[in-house]
Amino acid sequence: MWTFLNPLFLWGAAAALIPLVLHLLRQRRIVRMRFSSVRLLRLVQKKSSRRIRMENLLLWLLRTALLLVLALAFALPVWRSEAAGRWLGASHRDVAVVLDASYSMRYASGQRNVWEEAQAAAATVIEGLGKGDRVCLFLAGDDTTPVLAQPSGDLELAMTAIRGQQAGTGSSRIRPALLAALTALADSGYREREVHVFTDGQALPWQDFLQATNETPDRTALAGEDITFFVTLLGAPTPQNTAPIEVEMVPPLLRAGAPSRLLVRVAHRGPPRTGAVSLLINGREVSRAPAAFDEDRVTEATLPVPPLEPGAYAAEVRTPPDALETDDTLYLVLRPRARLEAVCIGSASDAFFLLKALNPAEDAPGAIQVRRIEPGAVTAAELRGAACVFCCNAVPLSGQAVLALEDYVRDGGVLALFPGDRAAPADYDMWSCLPAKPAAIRDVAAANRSRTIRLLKTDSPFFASLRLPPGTAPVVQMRRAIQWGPPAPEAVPLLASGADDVFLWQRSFGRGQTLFFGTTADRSWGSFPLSPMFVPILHQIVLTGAGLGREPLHVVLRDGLALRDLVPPELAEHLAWRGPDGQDVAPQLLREEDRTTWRFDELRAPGVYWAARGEERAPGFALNLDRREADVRPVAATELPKWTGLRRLHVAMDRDELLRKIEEHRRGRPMTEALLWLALVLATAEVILANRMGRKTALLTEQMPRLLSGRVRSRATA
Amino acid sequence: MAEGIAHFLNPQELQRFGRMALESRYVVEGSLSGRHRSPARGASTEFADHRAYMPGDDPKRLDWKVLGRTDRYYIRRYQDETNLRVYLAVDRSASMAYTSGTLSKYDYACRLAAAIGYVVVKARDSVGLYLYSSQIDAQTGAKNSFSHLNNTLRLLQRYTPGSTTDTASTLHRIADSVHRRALIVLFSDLLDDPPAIIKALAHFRKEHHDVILFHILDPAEIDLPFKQAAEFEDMETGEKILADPRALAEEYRKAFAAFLEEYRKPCVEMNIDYRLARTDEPVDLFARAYLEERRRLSR
Repeated sequence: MWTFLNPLFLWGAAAALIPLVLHLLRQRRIVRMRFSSVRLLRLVQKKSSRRIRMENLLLWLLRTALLLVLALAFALPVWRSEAAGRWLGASHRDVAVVLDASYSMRYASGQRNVWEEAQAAAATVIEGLGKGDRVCLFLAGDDTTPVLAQPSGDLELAMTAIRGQQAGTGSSRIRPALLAALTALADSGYREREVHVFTDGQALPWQDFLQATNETPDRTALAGEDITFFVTLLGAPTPQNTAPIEVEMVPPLLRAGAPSRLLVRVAHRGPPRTGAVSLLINGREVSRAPAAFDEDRVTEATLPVPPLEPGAYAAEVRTPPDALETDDTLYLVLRPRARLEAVCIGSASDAFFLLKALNPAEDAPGAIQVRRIEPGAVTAAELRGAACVFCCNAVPLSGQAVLALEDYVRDGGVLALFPGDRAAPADYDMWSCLPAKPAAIRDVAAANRSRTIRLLKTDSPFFASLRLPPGTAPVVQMRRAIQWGPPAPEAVPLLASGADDVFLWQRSFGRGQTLFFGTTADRSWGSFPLSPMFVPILHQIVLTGAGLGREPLHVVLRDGLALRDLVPPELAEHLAWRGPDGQDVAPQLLREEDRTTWRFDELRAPGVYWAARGEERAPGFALNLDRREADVRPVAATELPKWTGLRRLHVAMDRDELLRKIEEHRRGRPMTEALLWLALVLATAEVILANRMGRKTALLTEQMPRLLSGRVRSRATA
Repeated sequence: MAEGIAHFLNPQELQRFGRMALESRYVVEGSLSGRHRSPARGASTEFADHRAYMPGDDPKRLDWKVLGRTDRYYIRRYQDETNLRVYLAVDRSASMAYTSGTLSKYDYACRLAAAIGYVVVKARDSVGLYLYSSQIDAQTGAKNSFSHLNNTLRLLQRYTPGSTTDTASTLHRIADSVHRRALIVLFSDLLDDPPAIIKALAHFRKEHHDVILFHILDPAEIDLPFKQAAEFEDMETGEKILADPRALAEEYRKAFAAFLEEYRKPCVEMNIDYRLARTDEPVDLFARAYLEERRRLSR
């Protein structure tokens, strides 16, 4: 809607008629001239009349438009949006404030960090509201937190609420917060409605909008509202951040007394820089690796881990300090293990070769300790703490035993099954964790018994570091073999015997793995126990199983952390815990179907959490911030309208710009300057066109090569 | 008021033109002995060829040297030299009255014709006149006396431009009426149908006439320099068009250049001496430059 501060000048629009009047006057003053070559003139006019008419029309339009625009500009027009125009000065407004509460808001920017800037900007917006206006407040984190869920006329309360908030330790999602704000403003009636988002300009919180492109109802709900959105991007225009995002032990199992390495992946955003990545164990730096961080790339650094005694250690990986210090440290708990315990289920004769292969020297220190139990004695307690469980011709098992084994796998254990003559294919039906079930067991023809074992999946962690004795050929004699039924969707064949018979299946189940061999652990079905591969494969399974299924080095902060997923079984029901700040934290008991678990729901601080026993304490688990938030790549202000699909979206880069845009929105925008610019463009176009039409072209006399004697030469010869 | 040649040329100009001559580039058939080559063989010093002796031939024309060497009778033949007959054909159509300055195209043509005629008669050659528009309005035979030239120029002086034109057919008639080889000098603005006029010119060449074409134009016709929109009225047909000359100038010049080229190119191909004469140039300067160049090229 237009309003004019100086409407008298609108009469000046009549000046737009001047070009037309001049044209008509000129028509009346036309002279008559006798001319000799009218024939040629007519010919040329016929050819050029369309062009001349178009040029004249265009010139007339330009001149008329120029005069109109000048008249409008002097009338001092002000443009008001439809909403503002309708209710200008007559309506109260409801304002929803959405604060980005992700930890990237702690980015240090000058004297204050971005969060403090956002608080100040939000407070300024509220200060600018009048009596009768209302405010609601939402924090955009991983989940939306309604601080003032409904619009409140108590502006002081809103100011206090904003000042009382702190930046969170998680990531953020703007879209759910906007939807919550829209819901809160839905019942505003005829009030003007504004949503103000204060964020650091990071692209990550806006990704939801891109993913929701096809979710038409939600998108329409957001874009179709008659609400004005103000987004203030308060972060640095080109933010820089370096943060460790991922660690990996190499090899996966940290063994006591043995050196190992920690592979650290460091994400860097910003121009290239150099620095050092360091590893601290129990607060003391034990290793440091220099690194060059490329622009917007992930860099890998390897940190040596010195030999450690058995136990648990609080560790930290640190990157060089930067403007966002919150994510510079990654907390870990290292647990070097002295001995590995494996459980073998089966009779002494069935497990004979396996026991000898895993622990030939019986109780030698540092070796794998194998404990054999009879198939009828399988309980959850027997399996607890085992790095790996082998079943040697142990099927059929009781239902309780199968459930205990499947729970063991689900909780991160590795179960390796060797078939045998005790079980028929039907005896495997009750198992749900198997990669494939036998359909039949058949004798192998004498001609086909000699089989070469082939590795099908070379990148499997089970065989990544497998080394066969030099000079050995991976050949086994197979007298009986399993004919497999349809494999489970997650099943992966690891080894094959002969052309295409699967010799070893693998399947991920819960946090653990199930392996199923195609032959027995003794010599009844073949010569596998006597082959040179038998010992290295079994050792590899135990070592990898112990590393894979154990407690994680660290976990990401979130709600609902189950204690048994974080710590060794002996600590799974420990109830006295202290946070990184020394405060006590207590897990909650949760009952899920037939199981009870202890879990933490309110942990917010990153760091190492300790299991306390009186004055003693031991590292329990390490919590870290969501590392996706470390990617501080900024969103382009010009892209936000396209990403969000919001029609009435104003993007400001700082508080002053925001206030100016609010002013323009609420009181209208003067258009004089824009119109004067338009007039300048029109005048330039008019000058160019008029010059083009009236330009002097060379006279034919000047172009024609003619001698004084009248001889005219052709242009080519001239 | 002066009449005849004195009307068109002042004494200084006459003096300058007195030392000049108009050469024909081809053999011409004249009645008097003169400086121009004749198709007839006759008495002169320039050897032409031999022919066998026929009874009745004058024995003094026998080539005795050939007879002595070959015992055969041959007659020596010599190039005959004769006088030049020049016909001035002046266009008096209405368009020739156009002027953007002081001198109309017709006036310019008359002055140029007077200069050419004077040079011709001064060289003891004959000059005649065809004054035409849509028809032959006046004509005089070719004679080599100053009184004849004076009468001819009076005729030109008496007529004014002011009729429609049909140049092509008139030129055909002129070509038919000139029986012996001559030099035809044409003065016209040629604002007519170019292909037809070219055919008429070809007719002259077919009759073995030497042709000089003075294409007389006003500078305003060539450049269309007018600034103001105007209603242009054709001087011959009365057709009127409203036009903005500034907007049309560029296209007009292109069209006019093509129009000139329509005449220039065929003339070069037919060996017609095509000259563009502008009315803003002094007649005597132009005529002397032309005659000098023609004399140089005829050698």
